[in-house]
Amino acid sequence: MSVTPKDIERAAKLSAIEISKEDHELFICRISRVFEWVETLQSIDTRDIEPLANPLENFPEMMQPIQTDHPHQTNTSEDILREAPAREFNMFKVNKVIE
Amino acid sequence: MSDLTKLSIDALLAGYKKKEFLPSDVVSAFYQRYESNRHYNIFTESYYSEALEKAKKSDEKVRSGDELLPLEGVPLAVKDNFAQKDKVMSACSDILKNFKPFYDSTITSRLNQAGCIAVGTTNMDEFAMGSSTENSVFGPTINPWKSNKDPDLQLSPGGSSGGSAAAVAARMATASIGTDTGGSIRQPAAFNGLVGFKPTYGRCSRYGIIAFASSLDQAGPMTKTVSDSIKMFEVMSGKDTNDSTTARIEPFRFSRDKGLNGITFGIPVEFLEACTNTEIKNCWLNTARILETKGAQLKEVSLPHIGKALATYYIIAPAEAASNLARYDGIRYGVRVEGKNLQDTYIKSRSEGFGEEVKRRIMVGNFVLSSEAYDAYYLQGLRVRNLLFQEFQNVFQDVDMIISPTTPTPAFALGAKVSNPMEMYQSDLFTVGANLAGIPAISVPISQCQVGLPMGIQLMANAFHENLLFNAALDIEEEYQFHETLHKEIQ
Repeated sequence: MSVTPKDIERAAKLSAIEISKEDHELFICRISRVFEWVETLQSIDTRDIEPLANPLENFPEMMQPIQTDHPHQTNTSEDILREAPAREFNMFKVNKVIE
Repeated sequence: MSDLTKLSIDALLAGYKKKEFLPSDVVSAFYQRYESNRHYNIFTESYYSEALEKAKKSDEKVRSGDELLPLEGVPLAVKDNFAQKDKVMSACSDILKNFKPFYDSTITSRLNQAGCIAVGTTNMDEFAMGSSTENSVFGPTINPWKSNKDPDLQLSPGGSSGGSAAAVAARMATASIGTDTGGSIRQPAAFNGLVGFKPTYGRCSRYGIIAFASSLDQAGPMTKTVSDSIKMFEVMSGKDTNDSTTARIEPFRFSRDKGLNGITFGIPVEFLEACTNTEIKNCWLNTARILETKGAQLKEVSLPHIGKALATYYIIAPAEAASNLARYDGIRYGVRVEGKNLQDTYIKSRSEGFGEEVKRRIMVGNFVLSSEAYDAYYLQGLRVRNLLFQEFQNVFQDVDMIISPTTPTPAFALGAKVSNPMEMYQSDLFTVGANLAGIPAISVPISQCQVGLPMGIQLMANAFHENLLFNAALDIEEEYQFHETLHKEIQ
């Protein structure tokens, strides 16, 4: 599969990343090479094989059951807000969303 | 008094028990090494003076003959993706510049409780994406090993846990911890003449570790000896209510088996074809023969689709990374670059905050997860992953362990591969299969290649069979005693 400039623009949009005009060529070139390689998986016959998202799925006895809830306090709002780039009134401060 | 920076964990603890030296002597000795070797660019931040204060508390226990903790007074280097309360953790990315977590990761917390003393945070590839520790906002780490053919050439320590590997090899800490998503502990361990261990997926908690690819990431120790690796893993392993993907199994406890009689090692024919470096191939096969003389059996095995493991990895890892790294938007933590509206702020923060390799992988990930590509790429990747898992299971019906080289080449020069990511990706050729299948693997240093650089042998076993791996690794270590070479070579 050859990656087109349009594909790169779409992937960049989905990723909330801006690629400068100068970097466009380089990204197309490098991402295309990854895709040429990844393309080789298409010919593998996997008709009877389930997708494996987590290796422990094949060892069900090792999977943790859903835990029961018990209330406890870990993160306080001060802890969480401490690293915020901008805050006001004990909240994260962001750009105005509603015009 | 011998050079305290050369001692293994076992030797440190024995020295403390005999009151031959104190934890503060050890921390001070490491600090001096650090001061005179800063040019290696190993730590993103060091905190030896804080470590010295902690060591002084341990001194009291040693002096009074109190019972010592399992890792009492062991200086530890920590990769820059483990949360340590109030210490900067940035994953070597601009987007997390100066970020200070308000809690500890489960792994660092367990190691601290077991007596370890953290001395510094180590350099890594940004968000653990890389194999050379060159994709770091702090600049590359230099491998303390030198080629005897060209001693002025600066070599890569490997990656992404390159700083953690170099910290132990250059003797700035007794042991270190790293994370391994496709080989990021084992490859740098091999490049630095160390033991590097990736546990079975689910053995070690990922709580408080910056996520790269959640179904592949595992934390593990990087040490001078196999015994040290075992001691660290015994403390690190075990289920954690804060990480629902930890396995329902008790913490690991090692038991030494009696010899290698009845143990069979598999040699994958596909790796024989893929291993083009003659020196590495000879060392691999020689090591296999040594195991044979010690009573083990050797058998050729086949992993028919292992040649597709890297391509599979480069679908799954970017897809998971794209999801995990969506959280870095400049709103709640990290660096914000203000835009004209909220979406623009996200885009500006991410575009300026992430490095090139990280952006590329996020874009590949979002592409394979997009509605048009999801079935053909992402789901097909997960199916091939399961196929590989089954092929490993078939092999483990026949043999106890797989033996292979850890890396296709010894350490390469800094800058040699940065402009060619595809070539860099090949560094994980032999290691990435273990991450996809979730099985444990260890790299053991064996000998030096012609130009004097270390080479590593990798052993893989079935899930949760770490005891087999450590036993065989000890047998290999007995033969080569590589930690003596390490100390002879790194002055």
